[in-house]
Amino acid sequence: MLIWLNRFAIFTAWSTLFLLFAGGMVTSTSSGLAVPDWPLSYGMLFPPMVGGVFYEHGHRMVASFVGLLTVILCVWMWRKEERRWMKWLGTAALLTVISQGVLGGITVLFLLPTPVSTAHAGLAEIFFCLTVSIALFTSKEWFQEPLKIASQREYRRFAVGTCVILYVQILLGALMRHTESGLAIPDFPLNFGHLIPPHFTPQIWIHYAHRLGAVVASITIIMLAFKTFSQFKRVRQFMRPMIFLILLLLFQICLGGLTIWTQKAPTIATLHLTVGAMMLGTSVVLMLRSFRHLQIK
Amino acid sequence: MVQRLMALLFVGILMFSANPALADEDEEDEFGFVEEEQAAQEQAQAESEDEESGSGEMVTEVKDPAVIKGKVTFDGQGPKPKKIKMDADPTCMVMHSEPVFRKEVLISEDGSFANVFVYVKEGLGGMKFPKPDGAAKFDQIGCEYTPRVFGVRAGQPIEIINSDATLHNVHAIAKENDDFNIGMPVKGMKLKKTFNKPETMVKMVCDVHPWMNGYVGVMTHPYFFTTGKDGVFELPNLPPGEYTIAAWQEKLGEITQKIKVGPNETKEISFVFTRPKK
Repeated sequence: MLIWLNRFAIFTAWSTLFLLFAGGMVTSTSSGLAVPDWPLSYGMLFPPMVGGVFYEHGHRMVASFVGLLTVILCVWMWRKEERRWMKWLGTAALLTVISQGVLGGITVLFLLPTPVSTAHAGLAEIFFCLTVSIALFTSKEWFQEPLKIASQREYRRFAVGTCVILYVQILLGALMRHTESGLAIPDFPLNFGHLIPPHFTPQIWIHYAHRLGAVVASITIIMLAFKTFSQFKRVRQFMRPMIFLILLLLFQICLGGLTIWTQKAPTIATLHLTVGAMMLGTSVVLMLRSFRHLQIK
Repeated sequence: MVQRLMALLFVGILMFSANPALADEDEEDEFGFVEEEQAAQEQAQAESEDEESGSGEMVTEVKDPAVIKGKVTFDGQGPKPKKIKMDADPTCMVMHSEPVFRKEVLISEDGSFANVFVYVKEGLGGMKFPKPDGAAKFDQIGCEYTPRVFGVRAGQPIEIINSDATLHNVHAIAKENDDFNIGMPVKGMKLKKTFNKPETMVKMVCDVHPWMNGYVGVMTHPYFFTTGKDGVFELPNLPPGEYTIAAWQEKLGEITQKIKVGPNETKEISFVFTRPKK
């Protein structure tokens, strides 16, 4: 096992999470077009970090740093990793981060078209999941024998389903942010004082879909938690991420409400995005472990 | 290690969040020097579009011209002006010795309403009017747009100037015309842009300094006016006829009035804005 490679992969995953926060702050502060050119910023490598430039150029700097980390990670994996599929996983991460950079450039040059901006947000989450996976695959756990716990196929399906539901929910959130629908329903937890909004516009539909998505995601996580607690009570590889996921869910619901009550305060709204990414990353860990350690009857 | 990385992430989040820029701004709130040649092309395109589309007569001289004038006021207590926090850019801050207030709603003590765009909305039919020779000026001074609200003729160039020793981006958000986003990082930088299609209003924003908003009314005719602090407007040299006059305000929207003016007649009208009902 390559302990330093694993540590570097963990560092890359956390740096990516910070990159997601920095990117989220760009949208939350409406600074996406504060730097009108790309790949340079006002024709410079380092423009004055004033106003919205701080967020947009800051995001580009953090992204460049994460890009550099990914290049190092990929080269390291090609040189030291013995598992061929891992070398290709590193390459996939590198290609993803390059595509993500280009997508970021396109969204700036074309003045933030919603499909491109939403795709930029969606690909960011995929890249984050890749870095989390690499960190997990390079850990001691993956070099030891699997636990071979007898289980039903259902748990694995639930773990996969949770990842998919959370990802769709994140995409809905991104769509909501990039269509300026974040306050289309101005109250929380109700919708214009009702369970179902009394009237609908495209923005209200998008916002309401994100709220319904939150309900579906919460129910799925609670069901997965029940299954985890009943089947793997003494297996820390499942219990730890499950407890973490529940804590994140509670925090996330509070942040969702606070986003509305504070009229989309930039830091709150961006923390909501960041915790969403952490939930997806945690569910990916659970899913990967279900494939590693469970023996389906 | 994970704990250390979490602590690092937390510090990073704090640093990003602690930047004063934009943080408390209200919800209501390629890079490139545009060459003269490009501006000329845009103008030529506008002229050709104009020639193709217009079937009406070209009015070079108005016979028995009429005048519509009046005043725009706000009835009641206007909103208290909010102070702009310019902490995000120290260069903006040092340019003002006095506090700067937001200018979305500028009402004098007597109720006179400034920055209201008054224009002829209907009544000119297919009449065409010669275009002015010069460009309209749109300056960025003290991290504010001057003028904030103004009108131009479709196809008339707008000279955008950066008089500040800080960088600005000029981002036009239009429905009928093409959006653009151009960086102006150098003091004294000028560029020309042209809106070819009539539109009320094209919004201009600076994404670096989110309090900077401006509005351009793009007209097919010369009958428009932006009120000053006295709220007064005047639309002279109008062909006699019946018109719909509109007064547009960036927060309160548009109100209209119909008025008929005879040959050599001067008529006065007033527009009164009120607080919108909740």
